[in-house]
Amino acid sequence: MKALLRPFLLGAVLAVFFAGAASAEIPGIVWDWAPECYGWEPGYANHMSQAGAVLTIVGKVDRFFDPFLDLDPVATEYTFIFRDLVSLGSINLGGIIITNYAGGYFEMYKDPSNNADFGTNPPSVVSPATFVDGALVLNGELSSFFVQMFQGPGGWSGTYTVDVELTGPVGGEIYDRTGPCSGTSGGGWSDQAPTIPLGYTVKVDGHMNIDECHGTGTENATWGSVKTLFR
Amino acid sequence: MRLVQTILAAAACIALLVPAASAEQFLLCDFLGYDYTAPMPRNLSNPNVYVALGDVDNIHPGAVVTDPLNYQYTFVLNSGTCTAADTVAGIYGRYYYNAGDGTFFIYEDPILGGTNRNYGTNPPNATAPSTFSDGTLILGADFVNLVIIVNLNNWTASLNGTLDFYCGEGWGNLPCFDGWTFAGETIESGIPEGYIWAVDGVVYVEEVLVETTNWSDIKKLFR
Repeated sequence: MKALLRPFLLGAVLAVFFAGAASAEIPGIVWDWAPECYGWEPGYANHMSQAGAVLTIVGKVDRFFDPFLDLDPVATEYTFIFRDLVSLGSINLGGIIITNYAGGYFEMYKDPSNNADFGTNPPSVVSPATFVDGALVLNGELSSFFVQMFQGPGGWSGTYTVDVELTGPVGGEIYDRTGPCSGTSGGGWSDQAPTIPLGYTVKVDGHMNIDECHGTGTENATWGSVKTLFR
Repeated sequence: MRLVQTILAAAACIALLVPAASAEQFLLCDFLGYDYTAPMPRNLSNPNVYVALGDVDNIHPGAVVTDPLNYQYTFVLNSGTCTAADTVAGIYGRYYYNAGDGTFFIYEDPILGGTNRNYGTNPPNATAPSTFSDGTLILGADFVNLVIIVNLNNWTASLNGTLDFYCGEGWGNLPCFDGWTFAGETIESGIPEGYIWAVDGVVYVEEVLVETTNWSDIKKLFR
């Protein structure tokens, strides 16, 4: 009897470990940030990005949406970084400036120390260091990072948009609930927002939108808990 | 002597009421939602109006003390009349709304006993914008100027406008009534049917700095 069940149990274990436990139906906007997200890149001047300059953005999630409503971004900070975005150089189209960036990575960290600090003149002792400490809960690869900006009645502002592929890490609090997914991040962008800390070049008011999930998240389990499923 | 007193009194008023050095701006709120045009969908030109609606958070406590656990905070942005439009470099459409009839309103609606905001589809509809504009008007502004640009290649759009706050229960708490807003408008998968973009933006309000002084200091200014 045990010999008969063994392959079945092994299959069940594999299913739990590799096929996942949670639902991956997560369409739409999943989190947002506004007051605290800024970026910097060397050589940025007169609203223009220099080809080859590397853009870094750090920030803190201030609101989660369904299915992450159980996460409390006030009690425990969820910080993130967009890094290694290489500028292809800005182009001025009659007063509307567009910039494309190549490559890039996204990471999110959960940190109960609540120590995120922009400081000034990044990179510095506190930034990005205080945005990439804690536990890595999600990471991904970026592509097609695009910025457009113009001088409106209130000042220079615009929009950014980027494609995101969520790729890990297994064991990360958020990735275990999403699994591999495609998404987009976008929102407002201004290099003249009044609250930009010294040395940063842009304020980013964005959100994350998950378009499609390709699999399901995984859940760590013990032999005991697996056996319990079949009792 | 009476002339001097008059001058001094006027100087005192100026010193107390006019910004002493500079004006700073602070974040009044953050907003996130979806937008549409009406009566024709996906058309920003006159006679259509552009409408954005959604959630508001991070409202500055100096203006309104919020209670997000018990109240829902929503906004409705109405562009008003499109007064002009042109193209830039053949790639961008640019739309101006400078008639002064555009508005930006923020509402507070109780979660228990209120009406939950509902985008529905193909707005305007039975629930949008009505479930976003019910409750108590806490801050309201006219657009002085508003400009929207649309990238005709990838349909990414941006809005930028100046605001004049003039109404709402929290209006009297604002240190100044001049503000500005900017937002990014992006095409995404979760946009409800009939809406155009996800719109994510912020509002800033100017904070007028005043300097407390006394008669002696004012007199010194005239010596």
